[in-house]
Amino acid sequence: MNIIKSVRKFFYESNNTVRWYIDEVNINMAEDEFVEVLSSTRLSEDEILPEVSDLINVNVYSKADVDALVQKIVSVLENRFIDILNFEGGTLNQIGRIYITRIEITNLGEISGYFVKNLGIYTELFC
Amino acid sequence: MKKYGDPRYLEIKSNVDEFSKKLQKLQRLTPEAANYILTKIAYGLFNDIVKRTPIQTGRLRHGWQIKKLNNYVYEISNPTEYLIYVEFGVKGHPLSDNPEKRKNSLRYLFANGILESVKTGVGEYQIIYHYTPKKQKVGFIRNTIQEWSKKTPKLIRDYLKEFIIKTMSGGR
Repeated sequence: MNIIKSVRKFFYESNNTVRWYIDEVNINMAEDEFVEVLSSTRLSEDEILPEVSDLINVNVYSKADVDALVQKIVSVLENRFIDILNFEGGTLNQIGRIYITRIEITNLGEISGYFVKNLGIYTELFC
Repeated sequence: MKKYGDPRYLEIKSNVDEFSKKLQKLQRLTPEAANYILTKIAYGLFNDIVKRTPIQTGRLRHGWQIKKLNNYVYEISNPTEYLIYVEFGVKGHPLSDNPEKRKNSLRYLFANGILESVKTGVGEYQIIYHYTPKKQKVGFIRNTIQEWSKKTPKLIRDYLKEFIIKTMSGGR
């Protein structure tokens, strides 16, 4: 759970001009632009066989300039790692890092009047 | 995974490119050995993708097909139209009054586990809305290809050993 919470915190605090939907789906789609983040595909959180690699799935929706919004998100990821914090005990201590090994941008075309691009952010865990 | 010209398939294509690079070592082997190893890897990857395809109605999982195009090329495809929504987690129209748009949106919501239909009696169903999707399987194709890409060098060595033993024992 620390991994998921850390990724959520990282995105939420990274840029307050972006309308983030982190681990939730924007049912209404009322904004001109918004970003949906799925913080983990649960591979690293698997109880039976946890894996080192995982994928953060980011969908960027914009009615006007989707590339500008994609650029904003990519600039957030420029450090190429996300600190994993320990959320138990009151103080936030770094207990590991999630390294970004590859970012792939896919154009998903036009959906419901939005231009949509997907960022597949491949990660590896180091504790 | 069929329409490589379609920009929506770039992600999967680029994963496949990386995977294919690792398979290029097979060029150094005899055609029989390369063919043997490639068949094992292609069907193994296919089985894993099928196994990891999320099930709501079973339509998506049953849609997978594998075809041998020639000795060195296999095609794994799925014609189900909402595959792209499940793999990337994108959704279409918000629930609107337009029946066609509403149908597409509902299809996405059910496929991703955001809405769930639970049988409560004979012919009675209850729809449950999960605020945080319960069984969202976004990226199942990308994750599977990534995993196979990582283990391919070891698999090539293992299957080559297997092929040599099989050949030396006269194919028995």
